[in-house]
Amino acid sequence: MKEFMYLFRGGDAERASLSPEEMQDHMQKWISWMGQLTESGNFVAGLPLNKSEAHVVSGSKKLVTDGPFAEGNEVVGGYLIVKANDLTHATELAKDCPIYEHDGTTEVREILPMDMN
Amino acid sequence: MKAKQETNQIIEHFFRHEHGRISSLLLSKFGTNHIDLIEDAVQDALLKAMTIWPFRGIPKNPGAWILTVSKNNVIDNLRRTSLNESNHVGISDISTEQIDDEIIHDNTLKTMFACCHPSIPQEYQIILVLKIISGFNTSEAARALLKKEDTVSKAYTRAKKQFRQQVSSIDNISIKSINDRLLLILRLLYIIFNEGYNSIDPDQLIRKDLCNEAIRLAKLLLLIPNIQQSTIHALLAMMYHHSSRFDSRITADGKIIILEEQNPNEWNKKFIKTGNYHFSLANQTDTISEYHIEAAIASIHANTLDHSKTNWEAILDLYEMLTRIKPHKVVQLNRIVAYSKVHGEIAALKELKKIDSDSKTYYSIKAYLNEKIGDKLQSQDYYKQALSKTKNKSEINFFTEKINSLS
Repeated sequence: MKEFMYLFRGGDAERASLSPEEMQDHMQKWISWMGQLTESGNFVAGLPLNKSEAHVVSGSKKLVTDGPFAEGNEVVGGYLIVKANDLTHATELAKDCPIYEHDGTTEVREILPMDMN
Repeated sequence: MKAKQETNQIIEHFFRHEHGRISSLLLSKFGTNHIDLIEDAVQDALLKAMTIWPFRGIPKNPGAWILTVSKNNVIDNLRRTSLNESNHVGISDISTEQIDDEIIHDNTLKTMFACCHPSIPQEYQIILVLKIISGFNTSEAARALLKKEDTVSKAYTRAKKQFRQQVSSIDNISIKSINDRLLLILRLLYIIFNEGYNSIDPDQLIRKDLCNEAIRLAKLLLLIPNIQQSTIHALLAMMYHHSSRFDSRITADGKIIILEEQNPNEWNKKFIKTGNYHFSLANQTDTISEYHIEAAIASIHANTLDHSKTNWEAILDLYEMLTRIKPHKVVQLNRIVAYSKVHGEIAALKELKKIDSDSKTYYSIKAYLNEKIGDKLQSQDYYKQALSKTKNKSEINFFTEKINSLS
């Protein structure tokens, strides 16, 4: 098994106009999706990220600029680490994520291990 | 693992109801003037909960969590706009730990009474209650009330303006005005319930929610000390008895099934029992209101096990009483149906002539009576007239099918 990271982006505009009832429904879907990943032994870790403010430090002068970046949709809103056989498997697991209901995306990336092969 | 799953569930409609409770509490603390800010604050807090809880788990006291975040949002916003210079004192006294259910209910009720301020038009009162207390968003309110989203949105803006102008503080509502305003509130809940119940629509779920909200809010009224409970019980009895047929009135593909073609065994027994319970409490005093009579009629229907044994004489008597205290066309028209069951369709058609109406209900009853006496041509004609008065899809199908079956 390898480890993969899911990076969640987008969907904010639609989410902001949800009604309380719809928010609860949507949240429940996330909870059950992560519950499934936990039960199947694929879940490793994950956290949400604050999207409203960020700093970017860059260059040799360590210039600090305010994020978030070019497009709201490109801001990462959270990440999840899962165990999967390969990229295809990890991608398959990501398809059940509820983020697509609101036009969000999941980027699936392999986490490099300390592997000598 | 099992224990974890249990904490991963929150009760049904929790966010929606929390929206009402927390908005009410904040309206009481910060004043109705800040209603827009409070709405945004609660919305943001719920959004935050939705984003964080799946990762972090549901907090032990989810209500207190949302309240704290909402309250901090309001305070942050007030500081930012510095509208609040003189008001800093008082903010710290909303410690979330000390808020018990009693205070929560109390504030929700006060807000409900404030929304029903006599100088606010009824259509605005409904929108205020649905948006603030029931946590419906504009789209849900529009679907529930069968209105355009844009219309609801504009009406809500105007309603809020009136709310701010007429009600500066929800805390000014005294027990005395509560008793004065109770009938207004009952009327409002009656309308909200009927909006949800009466017109059958493909979007049944939201309409069921509307009925359930009316029931929930009516039950909340019972918590007010020294309130005149009898009428509230009567309204609740009626609502539960009607609700017992909610799912039996329509087929899976959206076709209307009229009462006498429904199978009483499929009605919700739990609701009928609860309806009977409230009905018995409603009748413990001598109070008689239109709600008592409507509850009595609904109770006869709900407790029917066999349509051929329905006590129509009793129903007709009740309608006679009801037309006296509530001489509305709809009541008069419904009385005709009961009248036909007791005195026959021909007598009922004669009785119908006394009513001057041009409504869908009028034509559909006239068509129904003509159909019963075998006058296909007349019946068809009146179903056509009824058809021309509706835009509801299920009703259009129902009338069209009738017209086709009669030719």
